[in-house]
Amino acid sequence: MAGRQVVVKWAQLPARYFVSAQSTVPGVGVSDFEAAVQRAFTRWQDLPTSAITYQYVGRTSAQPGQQDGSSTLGFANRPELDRVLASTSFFVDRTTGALLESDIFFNSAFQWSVAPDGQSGRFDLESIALHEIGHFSGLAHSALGETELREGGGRRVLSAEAVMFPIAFMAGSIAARTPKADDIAGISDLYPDGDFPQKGSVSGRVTKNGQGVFGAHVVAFDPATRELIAGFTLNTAGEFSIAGLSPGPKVIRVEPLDDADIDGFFDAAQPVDLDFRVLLFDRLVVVPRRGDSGRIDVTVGRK
Amino acid sequence: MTRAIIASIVIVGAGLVRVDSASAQTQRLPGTIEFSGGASWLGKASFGSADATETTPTGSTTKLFETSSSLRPAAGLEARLGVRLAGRAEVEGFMSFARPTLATTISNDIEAGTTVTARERVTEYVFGGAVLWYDNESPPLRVFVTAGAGYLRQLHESNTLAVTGQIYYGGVGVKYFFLSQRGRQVVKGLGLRVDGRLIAQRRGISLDDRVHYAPEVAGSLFVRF
Repeated sequence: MAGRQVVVKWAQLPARYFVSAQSTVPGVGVSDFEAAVQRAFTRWQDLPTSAITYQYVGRTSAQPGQQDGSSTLGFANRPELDRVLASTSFFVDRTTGALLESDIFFNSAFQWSVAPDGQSGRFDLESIALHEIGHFSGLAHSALGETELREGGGRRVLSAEAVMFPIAFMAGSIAARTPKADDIAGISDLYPDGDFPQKGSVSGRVTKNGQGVFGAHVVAFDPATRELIAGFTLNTAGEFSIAGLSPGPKVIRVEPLDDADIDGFFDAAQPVDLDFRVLLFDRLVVVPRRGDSGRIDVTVGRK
Repeated sequence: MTRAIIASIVIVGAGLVRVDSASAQTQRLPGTIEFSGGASWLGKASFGSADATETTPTGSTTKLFETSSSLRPAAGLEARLGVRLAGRAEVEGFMSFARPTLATTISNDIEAGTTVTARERVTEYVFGGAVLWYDNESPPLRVFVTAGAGYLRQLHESNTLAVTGQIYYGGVGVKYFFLSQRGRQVVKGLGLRVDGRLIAQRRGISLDDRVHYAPEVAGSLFVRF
């Protein structure tokens, strides 16, 4: 913000939220809505390495998106947003990064379901709520997913290993109701608890032709736990840091951000470099307990 | 240089072969305490495979890439201090040092066309104890069976992370005496020892909770007092 980086998170817990009393669409009553979003909140809250807590206050006549000092979740009919299932908006203290209010709207122009096993042709409210509550809590998008372009525009998700991947699974899927390792590392990094302080990190630099690569997606894979946790190079020097890693050796994979729209991750003005080949680093990078690997230098080549 | 020194010792030792005939009758080894030092070769320990997967919309998984890991064969050093017990039994304490390479081969990446092996060098120490049981054969050649256990400490590359575990082994070996004598001499025996062992490693750098097995051979020079 204003050239400074701040961590956006709730300064006071529990994070309190309301549900809009008008939150009803065909097949989903207000009570169904409340139950579905509460299940999603509980998924985040029950993570043993995160201290985030939430409190449901009750129903409100307010709509999500109104700056009223209260965080509100509810449906809103936005047919013009034909590729937006839901969205989270924030009000943030620009000095500290403290979240003051966070509203989530679910687009009632789509078909929704709260069926335990999902419902063909309808998007699973609990899965989408889980993703939006990640944003509500301060998380950004993850790029741990693979997509293909659709003929009519947009992308179809082939697979994802983070509920914070920016594109939802197809309607009817309930495969994204549980946070993955990358999500857990992210929320635990913001609100550490339990044995999270025992975790370590990998940091380093990605370069191409001697210059730093901005926006490279760096993935750490743990052969012992089989967890994938990722981050980005976040400056023009190509520097990155991936936190929340279990101690031990990691496989490092670096790829361009080519499975989702860049504006889901970075501002349009930022010089994200997509012109390099996927690289598998030829060193196992050791993550110490409560420490950092020490800077690794990864050199990628042009496509 | 080291190899030349060892060869010289062996040749000099061979010139000293003198076996006390009494030992053949009593089957007792000369001396009570034995010190040995030498080199070992630890074979490959496979840690199996682990796939990096992502979840599909149906809830199944699809591979991002595959990995298979192993601790590659490595030479090491070992030293042993043994004490003869009654009969044909002996107990010994030992320590060993090696620097094997942990290697993970990454293949079938959905986007990268190459197979890459990522490596790190591990520093490994083992402290333990073992028992030996000699057969009835006469010097200069004594065959023995052995079993032991040890505390394993492995340091990852850059020494930023240590892991511990246990090793257990069983094996056979042979001692060839260049010199075997009784009486007032300080040195009662001198010779060459060769061991073959099957090592079972539990925990340590294993990437899973299974017990991993690897062969080991060792050769050392010993002196008995």
